[in-house]
Amino acid sequence: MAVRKLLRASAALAGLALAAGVSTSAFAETRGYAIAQFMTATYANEGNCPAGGNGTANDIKMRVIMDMGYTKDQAEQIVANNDKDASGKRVDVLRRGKLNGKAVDISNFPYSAPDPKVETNVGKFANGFNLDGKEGPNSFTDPDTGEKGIDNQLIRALGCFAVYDIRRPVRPYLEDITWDTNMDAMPAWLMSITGDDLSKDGPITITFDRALNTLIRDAKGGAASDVTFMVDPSPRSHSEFKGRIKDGFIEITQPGDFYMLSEAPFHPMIQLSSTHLRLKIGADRKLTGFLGGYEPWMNYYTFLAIRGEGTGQVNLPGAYYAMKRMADGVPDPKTGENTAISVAYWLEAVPAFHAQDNKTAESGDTQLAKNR
Amino acid sequence: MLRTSKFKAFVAGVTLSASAAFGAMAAPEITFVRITPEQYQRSVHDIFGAGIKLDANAVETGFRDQGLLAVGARKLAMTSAGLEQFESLGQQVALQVVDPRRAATLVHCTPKAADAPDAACSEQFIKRTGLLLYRRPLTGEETNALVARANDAATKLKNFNAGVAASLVQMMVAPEFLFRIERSEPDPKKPGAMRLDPYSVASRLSFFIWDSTPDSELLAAAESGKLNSEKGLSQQIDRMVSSPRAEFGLRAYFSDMLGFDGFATLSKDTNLFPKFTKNAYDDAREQTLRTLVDQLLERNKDYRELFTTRETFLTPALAALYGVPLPRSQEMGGATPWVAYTFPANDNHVGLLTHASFLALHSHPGKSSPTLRGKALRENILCQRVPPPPGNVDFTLINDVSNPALKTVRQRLTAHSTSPACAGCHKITDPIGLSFEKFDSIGEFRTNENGIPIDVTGDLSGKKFDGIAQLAQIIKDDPAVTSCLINRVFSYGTARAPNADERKWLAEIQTDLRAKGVLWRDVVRRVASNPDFYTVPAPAAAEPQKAELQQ
Amino acid sequence: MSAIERLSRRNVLRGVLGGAAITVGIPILECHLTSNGTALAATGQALPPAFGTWFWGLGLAQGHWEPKTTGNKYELREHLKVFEPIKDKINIFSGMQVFLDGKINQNHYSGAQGQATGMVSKTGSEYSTSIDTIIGEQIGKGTRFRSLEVGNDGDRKSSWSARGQNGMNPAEISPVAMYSRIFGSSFVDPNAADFTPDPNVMVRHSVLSAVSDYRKQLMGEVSAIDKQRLDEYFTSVRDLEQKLAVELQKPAALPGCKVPESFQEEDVGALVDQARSSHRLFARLLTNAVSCGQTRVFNISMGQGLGSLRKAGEILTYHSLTHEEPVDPKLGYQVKCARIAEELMASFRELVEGLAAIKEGDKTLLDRTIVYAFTDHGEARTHSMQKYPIFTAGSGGGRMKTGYHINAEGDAATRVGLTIMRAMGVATGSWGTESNRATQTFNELLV
Repeated sequence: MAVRKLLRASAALAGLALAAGVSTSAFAETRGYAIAQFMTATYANEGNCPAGGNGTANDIKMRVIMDMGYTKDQAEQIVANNDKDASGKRVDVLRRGKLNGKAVDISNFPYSAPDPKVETNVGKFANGFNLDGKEGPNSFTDPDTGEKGIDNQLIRALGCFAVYDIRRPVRPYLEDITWDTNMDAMPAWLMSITGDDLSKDGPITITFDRALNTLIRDAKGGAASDVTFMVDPSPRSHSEFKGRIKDGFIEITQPGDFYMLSEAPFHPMIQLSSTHLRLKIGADRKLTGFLGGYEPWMNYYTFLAIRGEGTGQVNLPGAYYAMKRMADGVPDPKTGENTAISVAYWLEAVPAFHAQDNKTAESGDTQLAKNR
Repeated sequence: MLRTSKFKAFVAGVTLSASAAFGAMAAPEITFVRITPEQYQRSVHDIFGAGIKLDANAVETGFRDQGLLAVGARKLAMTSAGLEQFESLGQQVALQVVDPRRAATLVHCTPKAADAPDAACSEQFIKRTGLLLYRRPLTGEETNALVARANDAATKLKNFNAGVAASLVQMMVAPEFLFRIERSEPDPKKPGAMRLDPYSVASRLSFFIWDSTPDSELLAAAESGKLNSEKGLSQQIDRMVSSPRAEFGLRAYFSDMLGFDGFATLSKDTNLFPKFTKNAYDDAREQTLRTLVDQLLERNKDYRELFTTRETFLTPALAALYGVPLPRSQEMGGATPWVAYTFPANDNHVGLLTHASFLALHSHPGKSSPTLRGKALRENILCQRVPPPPGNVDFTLINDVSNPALKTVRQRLTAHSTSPACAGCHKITDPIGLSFEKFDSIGEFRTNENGIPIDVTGDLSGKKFDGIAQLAQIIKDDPAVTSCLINRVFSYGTARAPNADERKWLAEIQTDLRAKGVLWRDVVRRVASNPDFYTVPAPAAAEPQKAELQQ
Repeated sequence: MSAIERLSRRNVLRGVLGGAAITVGIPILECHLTSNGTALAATGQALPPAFGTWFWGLGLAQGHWEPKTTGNKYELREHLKVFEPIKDKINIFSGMQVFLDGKINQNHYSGAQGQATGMVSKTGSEYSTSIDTIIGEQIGKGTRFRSLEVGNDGDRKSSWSARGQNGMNPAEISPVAMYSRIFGSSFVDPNAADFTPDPNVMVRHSVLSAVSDYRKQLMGEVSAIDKQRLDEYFTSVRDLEQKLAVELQKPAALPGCKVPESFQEEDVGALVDQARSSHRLFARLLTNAVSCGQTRVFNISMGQGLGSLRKAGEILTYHSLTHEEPVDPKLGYQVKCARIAEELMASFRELVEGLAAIKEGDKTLLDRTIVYAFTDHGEARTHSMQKYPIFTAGSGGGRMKTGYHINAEGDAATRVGLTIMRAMGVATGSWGTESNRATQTFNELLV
């Protein structure tokens, strides 16, 4: 291990840091982070779902069976009887789609079933960003900042499924369990900020990368701070944005494209255009806040379909049709149909060291180092 | 009652020491020392192969005497719960040894019939295995009794292997295996005095240097009488300290000396210290042991340098705890990711005493403790004695964080130490303990306490220092560090404290090695080469065990 | 039981082992009889007495727990209010002390040692036979386990039980492991209809008999200081031999025996909540072990005073807290410490209620048991050796009255131990050494 490594960023290093690998001025300072928590931003509120919402997995399944022509009592018996009706006939909830006259799995072919017209969110408040710069009939108001014109059509489409009709600290069930599974197995997601003086307001560069190693858990099961991550040299999950620190928040000032490779059963990837970011710098050196933009809605659908309707607790054709209908970004040049949907994710990041193989750089002096 | 038996023992003990004054009273006698759970496990693996699975054996706890569990082991008997566990472990081992997949290599002969006794075949097994388990050849009488046991059990259970297993369990619960039995014989070089017999010498050496049972070569040297000659003994010692197994001995010694049994009950507040996971505990202990093995065995470095070296090994969890970057080529799917690491020259982590194993072990669950750290440094590293606190002490000042005048633990301790009843002991522990104050309860670095910069000045034996780097240098140069090591090594190997005569030659070794270099192998070699190392012990005065020093 | 008796029974067993081993016709073990010779409850008569110790560290808030009046009409003070439901099943002793006789106070050691062994040693490396061993000699023979020790704070060194001078009995810290030790595959249900001795157990028994036989030879060779240690080793061998002998006999039916459900969940650690949760599991196992005839002696420790026990979220151990928490000027005691002590008292109550919940005919297991509860310091804050809180629970088969508060200001705390020994049938006129030697029992309690 004698090879010297590039220390691209340091945790807790508030003094002078090295500069290499990122395009910054010669005296820039860099702080590194690892993303510790990532999930769809939700904001349950009275009035979001006046019809009462779409319920949990069981309610969703009952409704599917009843839509097949059974009564409520029969549906209850079918659920209780391992999906068999009174005559012993199997009621195939999964293969309820029809394609070319054949029964098919609705996870793979959501359009093979008719649109069940699930209830969608008609509320006024949601977290996110004003992506198109406009206030429209579908826009939300941000409950934290009061900003109007918030675009978050994803939470309009899904917000009345009970698993999304929640507020932090409750996490969307599917993301909660799959992020937790992936924490020990999936290369960590990294973020860093570089600027002349990170203790003040001013312009910064924000970068995202994927690591080669996983998060390490602390004694409470969360992601430990100050762990060293090797940065994946591949550019596929590297994205870079001009941004700023303002009033203790990190923001992207020039929205662009974001891509982070991930792993199923979590979102297989997070791909955004017109990417926005607003993260609060905490006294504990941790970052919390939102990442948003337009995401290809089929990506989100794929994530939901991996675990199916039971674990995901959504009606898949219902979610498919709602997202397709409500998509609001990146129109297909040929059809004019929107291929992406406005989204916002909640993320938490902990201080981390980033390092790269095969590059040499001097570690700069830092506040921590000065004290040693 | 206690007094009487000790007195008798004292007389008996003296006759066996180098003193010839009581020579007329000398008679062959045996003494014994209980083997540790680690020695039990290592012995089983050395004898029957590392594939033998053993349930954790931690029933029998030890206690510290003269600063060492190894010395306490000489006073330990065997509790019922302990024996019950050993019998069950013995059954476990025996079943695996006679398992058809292993029996071919471990039983060495094929019985005439699988469902009946075969005395000749079991005798072969018993003699061969008995030599290794008892660490000496079995007597004819013992062999016969064990063969009879095997025959009897094989008949009853209609199974040859079950018979062999029964005889094996009998050996494994016998005192010969569970204790290190030391037999003495008249010393031909010192008429009237006693020394250990050659097999007992072999055991003492082996448990000392390898933390395990003697191998065949060592037992052969005992049988041939080579161990009785100075040359033969030194050949074996040289072989043993050069063997890779010396690492086990080194690890066992330092785990004992540094009080690492304390990790079993260590508990930290996870809200305050989320980085201190169970893995981090294990890593912290392993970091120190790995550093010791690397410095003292792999690289043959001077023991004193351990206190100032910045070289160590880290895992990702430990690096996060110390707040330092630890780049690695790759980790995914790899084995335990230990990485050689050198703290930068300006880093506050200097030497063994800034390892989390020291700092966290001698702290409270949620805050550091200058007194506990100072006490541990005095007692474990310098072999000095810190008296327990008197009764009727009021400690409330120390924890009065609401007093605006007393913001740092240094200020609070100073207020406490003005009480004459406390001052005596705290003068011994606190000035050095306070120099560790920039490390919190788990060894993470900090610079201030309640907004006040932490003062880490102090003095040790009249030498003033500012901060841990300077203290480390003073400790490194302190002769007590070397004499403590050498005396403790002797006590560890013999399970007793050295007497006045022995202290003299141990002091000579110390002077000599301080000039030439305090190398681990030399320390072991020099201590194990002295004939006094093989005398039979006189009982030593006990010292308080559960006494405490507050704060 | 004398050596001759033991030998003869073993020979009987051997005879059996030598032949076809289906029925074991050995005489009923004497331990199946109570000391006054009555037979077992199966025949409608008294069940044998049982004894337990219950240790907790760091005492109680001195001056805030002692009932204001003595006798059997006292009122519980706030600090011990938790005892209200068990008040008539326990005795409270106040005012007694452990004498140091000029020796250094080995803090958190000497006081507990004095009450557990009757002696206070010069140093912390000396110990002696503890009260449970003395009582076990009288009442505990013939059961599978001579005694069972548990520690609730995750520390194997929590127990104060010892058979001699050479090391204390280790405490089991895992309830799951304890379950399998008592109720695992070797357990024979005393109420099961049929019984077949296991030939493997016979072989194991004969192996231990053979090791026992080696005693005399080795004892002849050993140096004086080691004789006693070796003797303790061989006593352990005999204990295990005895345990296996018991497993080879059809046990007498026991009306209160109920085998507890096995479990895999446990939460072992030094937090007060963890200790209390371990205690709940252990208390159930130990009471069931006694009611099923597996042992008659148990030792429970909530954790050493000078140990790691602490409240979750508290940066100091309970021990450090007793020294460092300021005394509340209004209440006159250390509030956090008092609350922890009260939680530990609640665990004691749970044990007593657990014993009382096991019905044996028209009586309960508690009725034939005496539990002796003691602590390390009268006041932990100052390492006080005076005014110890001591409790007993149960009447040992009607031998000891309950429901009393007794104040014996200035007496040696060993007086309680001696009184219990007398109730348990130990033939001794005194217990303890030097000033801790007690010769007077509390006759007002003995029936």
